Amino acid sequence: MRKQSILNELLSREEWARIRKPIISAFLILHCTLNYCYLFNNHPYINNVNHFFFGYYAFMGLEQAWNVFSPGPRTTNPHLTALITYQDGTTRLWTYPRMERLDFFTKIPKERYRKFFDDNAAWNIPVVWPDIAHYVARISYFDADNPPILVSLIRFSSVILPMEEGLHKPNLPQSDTKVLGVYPITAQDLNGVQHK
Amino acid sequence: MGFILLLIPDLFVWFGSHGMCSNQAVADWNNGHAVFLNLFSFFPDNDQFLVIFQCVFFCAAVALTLGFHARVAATICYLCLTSLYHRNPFIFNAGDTYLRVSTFWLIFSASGNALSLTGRKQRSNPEGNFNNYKKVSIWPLRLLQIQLATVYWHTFFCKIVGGPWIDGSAVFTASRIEDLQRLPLPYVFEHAWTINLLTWGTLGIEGALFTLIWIKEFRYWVIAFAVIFHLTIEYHMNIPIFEWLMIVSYILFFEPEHLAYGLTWLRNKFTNRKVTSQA
Repeated sequence: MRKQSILNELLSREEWARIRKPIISAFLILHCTLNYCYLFNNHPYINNVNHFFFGYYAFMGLEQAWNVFSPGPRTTNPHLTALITYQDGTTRLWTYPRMERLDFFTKIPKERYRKFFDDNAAWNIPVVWPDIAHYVARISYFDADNPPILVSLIRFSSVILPMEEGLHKPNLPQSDTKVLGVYPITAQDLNGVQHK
Repeated sequence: MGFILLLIPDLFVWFGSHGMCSNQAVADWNNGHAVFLNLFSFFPDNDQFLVIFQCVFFCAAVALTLGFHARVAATICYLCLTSLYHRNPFIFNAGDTYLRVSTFWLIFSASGNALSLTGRKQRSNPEGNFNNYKKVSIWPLRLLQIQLATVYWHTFFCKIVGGPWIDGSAVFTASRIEDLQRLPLPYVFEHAWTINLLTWGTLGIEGALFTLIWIKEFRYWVIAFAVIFHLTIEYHMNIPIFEWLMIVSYILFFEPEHLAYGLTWLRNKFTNRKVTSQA
């Protein structure tokens, strides 16, 4: 009733009936067009449309891409480790829950580690590397007298052999190494950590 | 609800004030596009708000599932899904994206008018068969159908330009991605002819899911093959929710009378009664 009365104050029933259909149609056509333009951005005109509407489209969180395994599946098996160096010179290795080492049930809720590290952070999202280093330092801070002072992020990976070579063979060990970054840890980064 | 429950164990790792992805990192990644629909912007780095947010999201998801004020619940779910996405976009897979964009369309649908707590009152004969609901606009349903077809349309065209899908080896490479493996499929991934068949079969099914699915005569066949396709992926690959989400979404393409018949049959089976009244 209240919704109806607010609408009545703004528009008469006849006015709303007259404009309802064009408004809804315009809304639907706009969003369907934006989806099409975003997904099939292969022409300068389409690119202009995307450029003009991107602010709205991104604001609404409507971006979408369904290019999983395309143009081809990922051809590497990566994982990321962190080497934590403590004030007294000792070191410790940390890695996230790796799917291939988890049992059937545990890997279901942990799948986001795969997405975050293996699909994104290990390759092309350097903006999160300092955050990962700080997070690892915080969860590895066990002794108040011996804080972590350095965290190195290291990616290990191996190439998946093409079918002609890889049939009936196991995957290669993940031995290709790349240091993604070395991050100094300050007292401020460890602020608020509760020691056990 | 599954989406929310699966997030809970590592909620603070992904979204917390001392988690693996700070607000600043996301802002840097977005290159200055700073204005997003994101409820976390009002309470940045506030872990108490994160807990309250998750509780509200869960209540809204329960309400949407039960059909209790479904439109309001869908709006809250969409706001929450979009906020989580904008807070940390690096952990979400295609299933989460599908959930988010579909919830947007769901806001405009009359999903609470049938098979729901609040919709039960609107049936002219609640005890009758499931074919006596108030007529509503077909457009929201069409948009959800178009959204589902768009998923396969885009993935099909992204794949056919790629060599591995044309030469028939793509499924081999996908099966060797260690972090995706769930249960082994013996024989299938060790022989070229089965790998070729599955690779080209994938293209065929995905092609049918945005073309033949619109033709009544082929629809249920396409859906049957698609369900087998997704169950096979679910068996072999660990991509939680995604496959089930797609399978459940095929209900969008069911004829209303077939759905009504199925639901009536199910109810009669469980309540052991015969329904003779029609709307």
